[in-house]
Amino acid sequence: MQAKKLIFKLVIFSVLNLAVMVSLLSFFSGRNRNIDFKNWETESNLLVTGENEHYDVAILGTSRGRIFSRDSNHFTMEKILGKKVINLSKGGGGGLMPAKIHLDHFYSRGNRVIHIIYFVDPWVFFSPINNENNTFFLRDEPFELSILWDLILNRFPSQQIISYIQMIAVDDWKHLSQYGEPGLDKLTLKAIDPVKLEKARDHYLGLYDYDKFNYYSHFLTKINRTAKKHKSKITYVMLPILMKDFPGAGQVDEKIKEISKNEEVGYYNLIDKMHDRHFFYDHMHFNNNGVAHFTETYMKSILKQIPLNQVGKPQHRNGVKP
Amino acid sequence: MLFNSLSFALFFLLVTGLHFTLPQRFRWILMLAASYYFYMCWSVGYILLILTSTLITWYCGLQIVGGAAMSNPTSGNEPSHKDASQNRIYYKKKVFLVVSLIANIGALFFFKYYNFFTTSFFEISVRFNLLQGHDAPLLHLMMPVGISFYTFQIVSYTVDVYKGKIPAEKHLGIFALYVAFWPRLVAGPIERAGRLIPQFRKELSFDYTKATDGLRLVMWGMVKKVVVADQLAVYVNQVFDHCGEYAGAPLIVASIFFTIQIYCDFSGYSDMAIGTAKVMGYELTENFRHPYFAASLREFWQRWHISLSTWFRDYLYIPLGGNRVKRWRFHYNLFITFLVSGLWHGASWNFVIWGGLHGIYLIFENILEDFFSRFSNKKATSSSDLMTSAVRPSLTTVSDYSITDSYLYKGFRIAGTLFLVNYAWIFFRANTVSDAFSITEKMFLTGGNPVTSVVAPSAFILNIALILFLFFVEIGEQIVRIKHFWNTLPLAARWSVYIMGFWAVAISTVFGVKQDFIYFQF
Repeated sequence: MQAKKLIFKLVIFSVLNLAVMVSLLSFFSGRNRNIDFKNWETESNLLVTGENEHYDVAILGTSRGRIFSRDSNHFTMEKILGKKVINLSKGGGGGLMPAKIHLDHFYSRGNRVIHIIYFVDPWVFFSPINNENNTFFLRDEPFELSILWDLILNRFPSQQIISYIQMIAVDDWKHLSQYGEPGLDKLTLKAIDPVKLEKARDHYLGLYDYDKFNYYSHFLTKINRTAKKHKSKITYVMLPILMKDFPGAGQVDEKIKEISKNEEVGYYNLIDKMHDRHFFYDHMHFNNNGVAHFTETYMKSILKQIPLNQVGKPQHRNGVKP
Repeated sequence: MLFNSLSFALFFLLVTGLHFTLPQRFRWILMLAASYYFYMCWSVGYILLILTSTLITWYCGLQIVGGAAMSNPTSGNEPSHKDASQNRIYYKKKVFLVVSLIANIGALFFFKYYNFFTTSFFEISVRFNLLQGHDAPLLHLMMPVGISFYTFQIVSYTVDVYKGKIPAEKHLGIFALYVAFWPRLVAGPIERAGRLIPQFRKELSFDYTKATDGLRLVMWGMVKKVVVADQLAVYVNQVFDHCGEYAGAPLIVASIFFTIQIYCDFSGYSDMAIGTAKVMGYELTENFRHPYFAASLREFWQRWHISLSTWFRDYLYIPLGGNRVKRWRFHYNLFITFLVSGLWHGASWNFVIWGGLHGIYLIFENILEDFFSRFSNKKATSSSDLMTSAVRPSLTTVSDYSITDSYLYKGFRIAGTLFLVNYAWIFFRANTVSDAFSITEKMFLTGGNPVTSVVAPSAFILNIALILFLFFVEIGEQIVRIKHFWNTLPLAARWSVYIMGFWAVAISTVFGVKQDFIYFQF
């Protein structure tokens, strides 16, 4: 009887605190929606995402996708494509799980997009640091209750959830969400250095957890479902990498081929293209020359020429004709 | 698994629920499994160390008692044979006592002190032009969490069994639970077997009052640790870790803040440990009794880390001779006890100096009290009661003195004690001995803004507000019977305080800088 009394009181205490918590979080949720930055002004996605807006193209990816909007690249891309683009890529290695969170939020605000291009990198299929353990993908994003809920549902670690709640205390968004090294993409890689590439390979291999491959791959299916639900086309593109036989690239290629066939989405493996140092500012990222060339040569074609029903045909699966 | 984490809350709920669901005879299995799981959340490998220590001590305890039982034969042996037999038994008892002590203290020495003594030895050798060009052979091992605490508990058990104060525990599982009982495993209180083991055998039914008292204690401990100590730590860490950049006021403020921080940190942990055990019906030793209201150093040590100071009293100070020896020897015993106490806290000269300072303080206090007692009608209580007083400190305060019973005098003594304690904490907190001396040299220089040069003004004001809050709560606990007062409050007021406490902890956990418990390193 006494135990029941204590349990009853603890339940009441928990319910009261839960009510206080929901009230407080609701109060702080979306308090920065009046800030309207553009993709080239910030690394944040939420400060760019408006409400009930329509876009021709949305980009998902890591920093290799984010580079398409840094500095003047966003203007270049929009000009070449002649389309309105929103870039939802996250620098700092935002992988499949972060991409799903950002895409969900994009749609939850009533926005629409015709075509999503997801620049997938092989490592995001293996590394927890690019997924649930990624500390970057929300550190420049204001607090939204729907995102917090998404994090809990997708079983992100408590530390990531707490880090996101800490965003409530941020007020200087302009300073916090700015890109730290503007102008980097104006540089050109001096030489393709096999030693550095080997170090990079070791670095990524050190982060890999092969057991997680299937779990992370399943997020592609989740992203496809979300896109289809909102009547958007989605195309996966594996961007060029200067390293041959990048660890796990073959396994990822097979997986995306399988998914693209089963779920009728587009996929292009361009990993072997543009192996020219003049398109890169380091061994991983395009410079503005590379962005312009890639957009002109490949993205334009992907968006304009390849209807969904042709995906899977041999001539398009391993590259798009310029 | 920290006490202030979600995983601990789930663990605690599950263990407590199962504890009262299971029949009494199976509870030790649950508690032992929970204790080992709790420990393995800190370090998996070192569970083997606890298991080994447990097995050795348990076996030695049985052998010691086995010898003692045989030493009281009823057989009609010849006197000479009887003497020889008793000598053999005495020798056997001693051998098992020594084996147990060497095994346990040896492990403590190996993991905690080996590098310290080796490095010190090499440094001294180099000064005498010996071992030049040789590197000290150091071990690169992580220190097992809580080793100092459970080793002392094991030692007290072995000595108590040897002295015949308690029977040896025959049940290996119960004994293992005594060593590893999870609420106190990583940072105490250091429990005596005579007090804890009988509780494992007692039929504990759910007690509403105990459970609510325990939960209140847990929450108060969390407030002290997460809200007060961790907040103060930001200022303290900044100043002590960059002490070369500061002079004057910031150093004084940092030392005062650390004095409060370490109290809130450690007493907060103790409150959580005692509270969680209490919810399940177990009573652990009270570890702190408002130590900063002590009016003498003697009284301070009767109020601070009580389970450790009584341990040193019973197992080091008294065996050395205590105060029933010549005066110089009594002072020597006191000094050695505090020197070892300092070393117990950590393998560093900082801690040795900290302990030594307290030893010197107590010796001088004793000399002064003896001197002043000549002019007083009352006998000075300190020399005979030093380290051995079993009376509650609240009953042995300066009010016993004849000079004056005024609050002013009492306040003066409290302030004097606090000043000395505060000064010694500098050596405890400083990263190196030279840092500590540099701080003590520079802290009384003029200059240095204690606010803007260290943290944002708002953070400084928050620190002051938290210290005042703590001060009034502690004063309140001294003046009124807090439990009685609490029960007179209306339900809404009590629940408002609970909810505010919960949110203070939650907000500090999310937005504050997480700090480890200071005493976990020991």
